[in-house]
Amino acid sequence: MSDQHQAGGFDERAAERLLDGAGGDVRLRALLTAAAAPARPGELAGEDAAVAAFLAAPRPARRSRAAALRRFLTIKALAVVGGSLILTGGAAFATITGQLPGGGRDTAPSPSPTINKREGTRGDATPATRLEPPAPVPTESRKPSPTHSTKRNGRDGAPGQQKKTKGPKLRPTRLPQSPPRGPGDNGKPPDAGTGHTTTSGGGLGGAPGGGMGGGAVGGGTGGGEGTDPPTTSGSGNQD
Amino acid sequence: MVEVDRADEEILGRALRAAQDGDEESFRMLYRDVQPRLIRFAGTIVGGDAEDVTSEAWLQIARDLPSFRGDLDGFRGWTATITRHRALDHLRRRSRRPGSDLPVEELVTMAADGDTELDALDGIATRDALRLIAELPRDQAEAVLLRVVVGLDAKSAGKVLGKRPGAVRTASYRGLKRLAERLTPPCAPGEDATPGVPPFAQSDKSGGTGAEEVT
Repeated sequence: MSDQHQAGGFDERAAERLLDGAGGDVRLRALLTAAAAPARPGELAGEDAAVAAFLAAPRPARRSRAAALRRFLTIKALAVVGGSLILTGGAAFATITGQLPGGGRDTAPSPSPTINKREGTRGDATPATRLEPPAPVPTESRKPSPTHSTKRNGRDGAPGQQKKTKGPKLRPTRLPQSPPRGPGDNGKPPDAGTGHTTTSGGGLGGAPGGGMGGGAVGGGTGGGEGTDPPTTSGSGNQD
Repeated sequence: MVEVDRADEEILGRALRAAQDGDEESFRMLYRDVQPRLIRFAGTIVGGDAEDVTSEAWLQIARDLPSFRGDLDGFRGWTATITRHRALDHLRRRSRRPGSDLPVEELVTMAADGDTELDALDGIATRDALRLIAELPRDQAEAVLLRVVVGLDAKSAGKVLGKRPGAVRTASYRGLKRLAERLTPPCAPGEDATPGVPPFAQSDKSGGTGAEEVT
């Protein structure tokens, strides 16, 4: 059966057309159509077994994504609170000593999620990691299943969950205010506030989140006064 | 199966995403769409063990589905790749057990015996068509199956087979050409093909165009 036999008009292009379901020899096309005919029941015999495997399978991708986000926010919130407390102390100390915590800016981000997220083995990460275990609860990931949600929906859902988890785990009073960018900035506002004026103790929690702009302004002035000595108690603890 | 209309494809595309989120019904939809393609594709490699091979493949598909990234076509290619790997594993295992090695045609026949009644209407044509394709050299059979039955383009099929698209085109072209020859054997080049051919050839219009010129 040499290839030249069939040369009558059947070249590679004709083959491509035929594979697309058009043209070509009628019988050949019929053969291909028959080969691609709809499923015969016998071919679907393994459906239930496959479904069982499907139901038994973990959903690592979704879970880890959700868990990572949750962990991220948890840690972030922790960092905000912890950082604020530390910096408050540091600022108070600095106020007493006459030093203002310029170094606080460096220290505050360090407990931030960037480190903890990658590997929660840093010393300061331990409080955060302690809170992680709730994350891998498997029921969470199954929740979205009935909603036929697309990826977009899934993403929308995730933030909602994070807010929930954030609340109960940590003091709910201040946290809702703190957006993800907290830790990066919270170095400024809290210490600036406390270091600057004694009244802003209440503004501590609020500052990282809502008062981003205002806090920054305060931080600018506060930091300007005596930022240089980086020896805050905060920095000592953090690193 | 190839000419599924666009609406169906869209539904299946949504089902794919829902199944990735864990929806069982959507997974069943995907299974019913893809499994017939996979089992026929696997049949060209392992013959009658295709069902075992696809069962193994589905274990992996079910497990890894959440981490799959891509659209419906990508999904079909991905499942075909998994199936092919399982099929090749199967061949390797089988080759280590001498004695159970039967020619592909026999295995296909054995497998086909089981569902004769189901085939009564149009299944015969499908079975014969698949058998004819399975008799091609394996690279050609795989290329034809991936394109025609699994519904992949040359590029995706090449990905499954680890070949360049051009090589896939050539292989499927050669396969089709050989199939055309078999449909109207001028001087009976393939003796074993003849039993499968008559019912199929008769069922079609007998006015062959290209093949008649072969003499």
